Amino acid sequence: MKPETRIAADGLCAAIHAACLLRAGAYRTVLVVAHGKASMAPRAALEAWAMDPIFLQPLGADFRTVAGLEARVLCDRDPGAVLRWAHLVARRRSDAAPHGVAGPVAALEVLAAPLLASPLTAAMEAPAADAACAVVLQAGGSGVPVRWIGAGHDLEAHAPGDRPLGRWSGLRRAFDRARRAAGLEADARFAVIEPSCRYPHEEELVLDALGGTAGAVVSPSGGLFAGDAPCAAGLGRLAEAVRRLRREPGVGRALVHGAWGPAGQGQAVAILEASQ
Amino acid sequence: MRQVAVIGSGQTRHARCRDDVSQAELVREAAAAALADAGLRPADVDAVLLSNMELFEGRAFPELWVGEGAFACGKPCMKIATGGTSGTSTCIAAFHQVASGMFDTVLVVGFEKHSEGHTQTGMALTDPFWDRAVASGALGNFALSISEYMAERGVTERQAALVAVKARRNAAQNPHAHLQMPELTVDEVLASRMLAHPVRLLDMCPQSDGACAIVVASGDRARRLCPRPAWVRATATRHEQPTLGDIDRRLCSMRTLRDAAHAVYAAAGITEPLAELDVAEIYEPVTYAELAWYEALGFCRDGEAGRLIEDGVTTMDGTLPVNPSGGVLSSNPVGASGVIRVAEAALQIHGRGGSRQVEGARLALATGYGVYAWADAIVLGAES
Repeated sequence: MKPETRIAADGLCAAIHAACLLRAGAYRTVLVVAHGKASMAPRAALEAWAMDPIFLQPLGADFRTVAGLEARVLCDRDPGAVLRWAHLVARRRSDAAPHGVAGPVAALEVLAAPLLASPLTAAMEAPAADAACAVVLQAGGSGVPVRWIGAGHDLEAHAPGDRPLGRWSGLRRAFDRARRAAGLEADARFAVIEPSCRYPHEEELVLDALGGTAGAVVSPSGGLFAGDAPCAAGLGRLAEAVRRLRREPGVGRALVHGAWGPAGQGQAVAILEASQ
Repeated sequence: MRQVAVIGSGQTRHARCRDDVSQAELVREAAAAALADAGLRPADVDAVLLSNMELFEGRAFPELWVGEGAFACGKPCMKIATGGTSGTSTCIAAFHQVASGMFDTVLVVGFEKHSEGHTQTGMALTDPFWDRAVASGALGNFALSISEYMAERGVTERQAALVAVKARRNAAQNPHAHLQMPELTVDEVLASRMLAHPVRLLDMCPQSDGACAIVVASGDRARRLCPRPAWVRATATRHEQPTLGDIDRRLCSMRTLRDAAHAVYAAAGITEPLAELDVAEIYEPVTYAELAWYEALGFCRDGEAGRLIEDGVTTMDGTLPVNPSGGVLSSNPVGASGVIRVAEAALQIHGRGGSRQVEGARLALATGYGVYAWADAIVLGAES
């Protein structure tokens, strides 16, 4: 019998709306829950049904093939990219191994895996997972370990032909909105960045869109390579960032990222700060 | 909390099958109409919220494809889905986003294109262990709870038919409405095909293709843009377990709506809703539900709803006109239906209801309903 809102996007959007409910003074404490059970259905089939049914779905476009197109754009102008991505995946999978759904993998194995959507191989996709995540947000809490200082989100054009693939300008807009809400300058530094990336090239696009990320620890627990549960993904990143801000003194500010749709069409950013 | 108002709205023509437009084009039709109504350009909108019940038209994450139709590209955009309440929930979310100071102007677009999917299949995706086999879809659910409601409160088929006639006659004054039956009679309703006892064809809402959009703005901006803003006086949302056996005497108690109504009345200082409200736009998916809502919303005591409709208290010239638009019984594009309730309530406050205007309306109620488990209530008012 409680008030409830169901946001149909990445879980981080639900947290953004919860923060807005608190700021409006409508409630004092909000529970944010995100869940996804990838094992219940073929994910690629569902994602094909999210594509424009007139111009894109008949071509076989789904989130995976659009990611492949995007990776192709990037590696065509950067011949070393695919090898670099393989190493990045190996590193993320290794960091995720203690808690992830898949074990470690060598960079050469990543390269040798069957092609998923050229140039992406099957091992370059974060492993699908079943997961749920819950986060409690409270208004004006004193003595809380972590403060939510700003957030922003954005919806980019749908069709790959209507936007420059290989640049996440939607994320840039979401980040600028979050940064302004938090009162931060364009060159603000973050100790931790928790991106929601299903493919390694997306992580490079995230860092590129954020700019000025030098010195930040990125995806310290392996990010979505620990297990990619639809909708729960971005909220899971928030929980990871909070855990790190609470556990490690001196870690000041974290940036959390959520994404949904083909090639990062939907973007969400939240900025957190450890209480001093 | 900042002041928030509805300053404009737009609707498509609602119909069984709008095969002249795609889903994105349908959305654009309503969004463009709402912006024109509010005197805004797409660039003036800070954020967009979409309302839709996924799978009713065979799409997944439809906001990704239709977002452009709602002028959402490059803007903050989310979709909200809470069954039949999706539209009212999304309007409430927009009110909160403006009240929080996060945005000054938010466009809400609700849409559904039932003709491209299979709604009852979508509605059958209930709890696979307990509910799916016994209470799937709208009809089975209603037939069960309406039988119980009739037995307990003594409501008759004729009283329900009066609701059907009122709705369709009101709809005849609404150019957007799907069903146009200005001459409908009680006898015709009672002679219509039995779908699932006691629900007849003309007791039920249609399935419509349609979209509706509203523009929500903060205090000063609303005053600048709109001569008579519809101010948000109070909102409430209630949700409970949707499992069939867990909802006590569903239509009889409808405790989510009862509780939400109490909350908004208290917040808006309303003690006698029948006397104080000027107009109500309530989400009645079936005739009997409208009667049950009269009781849940405190328009009368339990067991008196039948008399209320017989006495014409809720007709256009009654004490409290209910659903001048023709209601969900005349147009039901599900994701849009809740937005339509809010848009129509706001239109009454704007004083621009045309031939469906309730003279001098200053205080309006809009509600949403989602298969017993969800209820929303919203009170809009003129400048005090």
